[in-house]
Amino acid sequence: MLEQATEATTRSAPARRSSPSLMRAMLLLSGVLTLTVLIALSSGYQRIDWMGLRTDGTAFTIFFQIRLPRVLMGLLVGASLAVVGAALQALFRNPLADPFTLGVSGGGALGASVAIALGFGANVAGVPLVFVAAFLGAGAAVFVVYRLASTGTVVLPGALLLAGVVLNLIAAAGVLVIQYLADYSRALQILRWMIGSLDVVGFGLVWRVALFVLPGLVMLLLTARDLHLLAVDEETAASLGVDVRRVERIVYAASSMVVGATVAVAGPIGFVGLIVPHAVRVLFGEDLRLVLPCSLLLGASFLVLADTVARTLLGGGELPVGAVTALAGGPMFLWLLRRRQRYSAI
Amino acid sequence: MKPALLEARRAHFAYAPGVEAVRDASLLIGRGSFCALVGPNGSGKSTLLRLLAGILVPGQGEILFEGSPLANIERRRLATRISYVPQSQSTVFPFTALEVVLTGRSPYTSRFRFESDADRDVAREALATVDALRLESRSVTELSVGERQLVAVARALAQDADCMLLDEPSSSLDLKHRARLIAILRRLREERGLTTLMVTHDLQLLDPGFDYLYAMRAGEIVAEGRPSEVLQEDRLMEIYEDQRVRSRRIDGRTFVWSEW
Repeated sequence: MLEQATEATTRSAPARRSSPSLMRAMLLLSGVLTLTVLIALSSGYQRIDWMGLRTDGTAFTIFFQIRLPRVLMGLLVGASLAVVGAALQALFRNPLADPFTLGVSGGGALGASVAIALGFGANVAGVPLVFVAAFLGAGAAVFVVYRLASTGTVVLPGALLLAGVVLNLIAAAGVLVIQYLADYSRALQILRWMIGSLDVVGFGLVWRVALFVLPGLVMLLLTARDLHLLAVDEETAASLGVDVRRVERIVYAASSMVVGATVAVAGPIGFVGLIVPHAVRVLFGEDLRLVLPCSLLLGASFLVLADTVARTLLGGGELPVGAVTALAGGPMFLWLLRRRQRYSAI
Repeated sequence: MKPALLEARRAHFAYAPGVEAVRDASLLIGRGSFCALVGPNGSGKSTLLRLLAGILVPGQGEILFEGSPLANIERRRLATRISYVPQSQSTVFPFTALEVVLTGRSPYTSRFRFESDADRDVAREALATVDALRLESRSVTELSVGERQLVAVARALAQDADCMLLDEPSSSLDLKHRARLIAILRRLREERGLTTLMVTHDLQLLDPGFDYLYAMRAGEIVAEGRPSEVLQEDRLMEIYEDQRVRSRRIDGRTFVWSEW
């Protein structure tokens, strides 16, 4: 037996090494991210003379009040959506799961619309009520998905996605009703918000979003090993010492927190959580301990790049960033569906 | 029977209120023993196995490992003592066979580390043991059901536990690999004192070879004993509630079949 093993060891090609490839992947993606941020910071309607940044007041204001906060927001939102997508895919063992397809973004959108319509502009302990409402909406959607997923001993992945579709439809209908009932200016506000944008002025909102998002992301990254085992097989994971129910609760709580906050500021932005983890898998392999941190970096790059395209493509005007990600991501989703035979069951 | 390594004491379990999948089940698995759990479909074998593996928690009664309740043993430490091979795996992502087998090393790997080269050697040796090393870089989603079973057994072997619980590991294996699996498990018993409990429908495999059998019907353990005793025709008719079951013992080997 041992002879056979050593013989085969020398014969077959060395198998993929996880640890060094994590370093390589992270370095590569950090490079991509740095490049993307530089491109994003240096492109825009207003040309900025880097040398004159200190002396030119207008350039200074544009750079530090508009462009840099916007890029930071893009980094936060993109990283969030991608990491949550990767985590949900592993948890549900479904490559088509993401905050958007499972209806979590929709739930958040409904919550935020209610808050805007009722004029909850106020802050509670520095946290805008719109955040809280979006968080509650996202949490409610997560709860519904969780109930559906946990009623049987076997998770039916088809049912889960169907539930996501239905949740999105309900949320969209709810938003329409609220818009209809709300007064004109607030309805317009909801509409503008639903389109989705990373437009922010100053750093105040960026920090507040970070306050919500970063703990959630850290929580998700800390469960990478457990999610890896769960992605392989739930029962096996349990027998390997994973507290499955606890991991589920962590992922649900972190996802609602992160998605709630990002949806509250940026509106529902689709497909980032779907295509980024998939691209990472194709590039670097299936190991979740690699997929989660790589999704963080690639998600941040992807959304910042998409936003740069959105705000520069038309010259003076601006495309909704959600439309750009959907135009890039929708075809990708269909392509994924087509090649689903690689996955044993969706 | 040697002193008990794993024990169920009057364990009950219900997936839904009022429907007991396992009722009042007590069994003793001696250290180093080679046991099987048989019975008709839906008789609660898999559920009892999950209870013994600590994946499910009994509603009443308790499961003891080396005399202490499973609930008192830290999960990851338990994973170094008991390994479990599920009936089927739900993997949808194209993990390679080696990646799957390497998950068996996770109880020995700290949270923020990847498996070491030594772990890889253990994993590849486990694959070689079940005659599946050629599958190591194939994605498990492309493998046949039988090949997946071999990979699952290799994963449990890589876990290097004292006790292995297997849920119909041979159901999709061919004649050769079926015999080989039994040979491997028996050899590990001789070499490392591995304790085995296997759920199986394959009554041909049991006598000779296994030390002790438990038989379940409708959630209860209804018979136990040496294979040659439990596999007697009249007892099998009771267990399977079927008068057509036939059993013959020829040259120290029990043959079981059913008339139709």
